[in-house]
Amino acid sequence: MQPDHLSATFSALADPTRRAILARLALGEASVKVLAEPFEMTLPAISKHLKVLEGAGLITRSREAQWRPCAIHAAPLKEAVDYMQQFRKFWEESFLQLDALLQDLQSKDKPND
Amino acid sequence: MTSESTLDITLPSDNEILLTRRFDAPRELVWDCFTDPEKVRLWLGGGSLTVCEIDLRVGGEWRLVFEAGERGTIPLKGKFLEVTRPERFARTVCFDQPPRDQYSWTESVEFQADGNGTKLVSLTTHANREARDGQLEGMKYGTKSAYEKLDEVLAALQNK
Repeated sequence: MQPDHLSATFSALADPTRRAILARLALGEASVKVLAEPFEMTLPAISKHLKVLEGAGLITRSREAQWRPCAIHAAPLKEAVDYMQQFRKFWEESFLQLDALLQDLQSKDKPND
Repeated sequence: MTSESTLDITLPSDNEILLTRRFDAPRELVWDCFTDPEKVRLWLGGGSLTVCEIDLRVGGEWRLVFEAGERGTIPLKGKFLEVTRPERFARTVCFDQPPRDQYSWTESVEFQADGNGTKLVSLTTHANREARDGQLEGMKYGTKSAYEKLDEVLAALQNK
């Protein structure tokens, strides 16, 4: 994956409404009207969010059906998750050692613990 | 590990990284583990940390160097913007390597009392999304040595 694709993915994810839309689409395809229901937003506002998601390749919109259902396209999401995982691993390994160190330091302070 | 101590990393906006983690220790002690070089050396970077200097006062400088295998080293440095023991510190971070040292970002780390433990809340703020994603990219290279260190620790634990 090209770095600019990854930036598009992160940018698309950096918005709570778009993340909620993706969460809904993970359950199955839906129309713009259905997707808009949980939000206090106009249909054009939701359509704008959908365009960002579509631009990042995170959703696809059928051109065949009249109601143009949206469907999730998970591949870029997986790339982004794999990518974040590297960052997480670095800290997770470090923090596991910090847990052990903190336990050690506290048992020295309180030998009866 | 309990679910309470699970590391959480999110991207609250285009240019930020928010990291939270709970530790089962009082915050004075967690604070020391983040700010006392002797203690930092014992856990950060899974054995890849070779230089650790921290002048813990506003305006004071700090410097960390991680070994990153084939990538050489990752030298980081910066200055403290705020030091409020044991609640919060804020500092600038940049690569200690021209021309990359021209760009710095900020890191604000809070230590919140949480029952008998401490909740760490770290907010990293970059100038833009590209720089932020670049930091995530950089983290890849610390991972290999971190795993090797964990292997050693796990092996040592099993021999006990």
